[in-house]
Amino acid sequence: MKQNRIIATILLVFIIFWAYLTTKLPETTMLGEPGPKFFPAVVLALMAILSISLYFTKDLEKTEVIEADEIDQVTEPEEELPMNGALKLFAVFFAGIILIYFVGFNIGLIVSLSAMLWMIGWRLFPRAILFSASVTLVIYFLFSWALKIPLPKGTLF
Amino acid sequence: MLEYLSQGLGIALQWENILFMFIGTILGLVFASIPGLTFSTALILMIPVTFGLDPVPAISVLLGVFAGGMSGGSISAILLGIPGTPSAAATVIDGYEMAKRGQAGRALGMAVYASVFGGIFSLLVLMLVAPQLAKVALKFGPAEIFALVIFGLSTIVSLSGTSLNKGLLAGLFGLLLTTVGLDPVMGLQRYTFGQSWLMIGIGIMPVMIGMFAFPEIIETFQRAKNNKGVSKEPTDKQVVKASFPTLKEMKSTFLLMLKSSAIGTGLGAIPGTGGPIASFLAYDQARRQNPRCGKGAIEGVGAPEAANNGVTGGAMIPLLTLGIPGDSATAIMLGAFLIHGLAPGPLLFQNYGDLVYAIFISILIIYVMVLVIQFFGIRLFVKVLDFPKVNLMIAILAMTVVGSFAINLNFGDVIIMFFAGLLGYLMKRYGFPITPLILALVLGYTIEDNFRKALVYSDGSLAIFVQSPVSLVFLILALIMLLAPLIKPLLEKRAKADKA
Amino acid sequence: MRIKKLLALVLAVILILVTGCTAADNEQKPEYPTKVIDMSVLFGAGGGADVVGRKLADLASKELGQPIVANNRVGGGGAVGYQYVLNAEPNGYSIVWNSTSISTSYHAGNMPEGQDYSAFRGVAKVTDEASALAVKADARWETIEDFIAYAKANPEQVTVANSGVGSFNHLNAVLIEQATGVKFKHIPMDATTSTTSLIGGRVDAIVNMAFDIIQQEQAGNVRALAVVADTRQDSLPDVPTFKERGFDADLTMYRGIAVPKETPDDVVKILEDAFIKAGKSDEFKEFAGKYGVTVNVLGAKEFEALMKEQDEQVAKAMDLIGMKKQ
Repeated sequence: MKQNRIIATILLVFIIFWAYLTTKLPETTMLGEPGPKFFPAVVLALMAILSISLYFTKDLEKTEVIEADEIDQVTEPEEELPMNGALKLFAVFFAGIILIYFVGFNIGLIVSLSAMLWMIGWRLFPRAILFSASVTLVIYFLFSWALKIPLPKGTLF
Repeated sequence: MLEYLSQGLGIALQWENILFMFIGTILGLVFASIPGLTFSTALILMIPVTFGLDPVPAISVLLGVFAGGMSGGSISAILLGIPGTPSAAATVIDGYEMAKRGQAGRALGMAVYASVFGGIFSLLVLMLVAPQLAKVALKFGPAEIFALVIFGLSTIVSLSGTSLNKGLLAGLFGLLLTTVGLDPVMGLQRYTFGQSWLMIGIGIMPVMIGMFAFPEIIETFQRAKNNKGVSKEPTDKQVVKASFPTLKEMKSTFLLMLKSSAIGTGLGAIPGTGGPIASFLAYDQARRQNPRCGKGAIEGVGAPEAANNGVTGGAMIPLLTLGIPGDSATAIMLGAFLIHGLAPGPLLFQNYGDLVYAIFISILIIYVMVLVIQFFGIRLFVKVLDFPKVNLMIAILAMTVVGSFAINLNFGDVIIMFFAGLLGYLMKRYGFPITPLILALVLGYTIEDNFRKALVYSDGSLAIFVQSPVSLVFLILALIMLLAPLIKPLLEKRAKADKA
Repeated sequence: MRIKKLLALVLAVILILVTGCTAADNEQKPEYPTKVIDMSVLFGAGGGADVVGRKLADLASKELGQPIVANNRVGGGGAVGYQYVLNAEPNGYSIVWNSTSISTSYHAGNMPEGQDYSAFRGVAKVTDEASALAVKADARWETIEDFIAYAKANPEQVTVANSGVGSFNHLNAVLIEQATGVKFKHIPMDATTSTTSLIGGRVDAIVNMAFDIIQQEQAGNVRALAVVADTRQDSLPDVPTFKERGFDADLTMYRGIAVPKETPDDVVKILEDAFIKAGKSDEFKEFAGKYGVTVNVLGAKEFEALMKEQDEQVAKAMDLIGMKKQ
């Protein structure tokens, strides 16, 4: 796999997009000062150079990494966890955050935490909900009640 | 001075005062050690409380939160790999590595020792040379601060680990993120897509919470899933012993502690710089001393902690001598002074010498409290690791949401936190180090702000950066740091050739 | 079994919490307020605006019998907080510690079109804060006339730091130029660093809030030459106003309480009475004085007129510096 090439390409696409946004910024500036476009432009240029250099860098072999970390021999090389599983967890949690946005903190958090627990194999729903609910309650009392810090209210009601 | 000292002792040792110091210290420690809560929140909560207090207890409770918070940030950094404050971001690198090896107690012990060392060092500086140091700090204009921060940024080179290219890319990406929001000089919206929640920019706290917490949370969940949902998978059941650094360790790290504390105190005294950059600069020093830093060395924990606690005393210098707050914590303290009709500045020392000394003594007592509370607390803190890890991570997941929301009471920050988490996970997976990004995010705004403002002063002439000796020195140092990885192999080759 | 019982209990508590709150909202309430009021503070915790606002909220909540909690919603020169309040339900439970920043942030283009001062209803104006022009304590200018004369002789040479492009103090610096017929070189900084740049000798003068200048004046670091206000400030009694020296500059920052325009009249009335009483109390006056803030309470009607009048002034000044976007 040419991992570095793929990453570098993604980065370059991103840089071009951001550079396009940068050209759209208004010109307004003060005497002597380079204006709002200057700093992003410098950063983008440097990023572009490094991305191109990354494109032509050979991927590190797994063995090389381990060799480089001689001191790390105590920890055995861990097996790679599948990325799909991780992305699924992220997706579910994002759905949870959106839910909180709409229905507010209490219900939203209980549902999304329970869903996470269910995803990782807590198939006993009462236990998952019970645990999520207690976490939510503790936070609710700590913030809303004791510290008077508002929590997300929910835009639906 | 002796007279003031004894009067100050009298004020500082009143039971009411001691009580408020204690409350403040505990609050700071607790708020800083819970991921998602910061000690700034604790300070804001204390503002109304200080309305009703005498001046010294009012300042004491705030000082307690400040010092407790600075040292408490290391607790979650070490135990959970999530820094409690931006100043503790450098502590994660080695602290969490040590915790993973079952040395959490040792790392916490070192952090406490270093915190107290840095705090007391900065107090001594504050007592002895505050007016002189304040004069030096005033010399730091935009050009000097720009150079200093660029120097701080150049430590990215040593934070990048195996791939310099990827480290620099991560750092540059961090810089790019700081351009979202209102432009520092003209106040124009950049990359906000018309969204009001993006006008504050991409906050350091939401990004830090997401980037450090999510990879851990996701990994734990995936492992639990592989174990068929066995939730009671405790963390590696090693006996975690609370331990203070040994005399030998104290001796071997003494110079490093001194250096780091000095870095922290110095940067604390310059308004507009502060904790995170100090701790990264100190971490860089640690790396020079012990190449094992990054893989779990006590130097890597001690240096940043000594530095960020050095900031506490340092930040008091411009506050007390000039009445100028260097950061949000001292801004709140300035408020507390004014409520009681005290105007910080040279007159404070003349008219209220006893009060000033009471504050000095209070800082000392607060650090003794930090030492005692944390030392006995270590045993309690490490108990966190006895919780089933899934349950712990679910609680942290909940706190990431609340914590990122609570900073600005802005739901946009929760979204930012989530995407930072996703990005952090992907970066880790593909070998991009996270700390350069965090460092760049902390410094980016200051860099652009001061660069452009310096040019307003000089009518656009870049000469301003080399005409000031301070700025010139820092820029040269930064250049050396950046070029070191290129020059070093050449030098080594030459040395080898000479030998042959 | 045990788990199920516990679960039932927890769910019951949550149901009560959730329904308890929403039910209270939907009922026809005979009275206001019946729950916590959220006051948005537009600037960071600990600053003058924040602390004085918190004190006022504290006193007003005693009149209302319900707590008023100050929450800092910072960003966009106030725009973030203003938009939060405009998006909240106009029922009096979300109020804003308002200031001239409604005009500066609107004209700088940080508020959506049409959401200017007129999207709000004034409840009560409470305080005035003046800008002042100050020089270093050992500077050669003893009086404002000296300074102006020097600046006139050296156009665009005298450096004057303010707290940011388009900030209130920048506008005042420009208005001073207009009134006196000189040209400064403006250096945008922020509230703290403009002071350090003056003491550190990098600029000749600053225009900053009186609050930030008094402390430095008392400490003997700076000398205030004149304030931008109708009358002299209690906190700087020896410093003349530009007006009394014949220069026509008097843009003073107001602070007060505002709510979204749609808020019902009776709610506004209740709030108005509470905040007027709190603002006029001796406790508040004494407290505000320590922050260089002049208490000058106005009721809802006069406050709205003032917001309108200031908005025109600000719009004109923003236009002068080329920052007026809408």
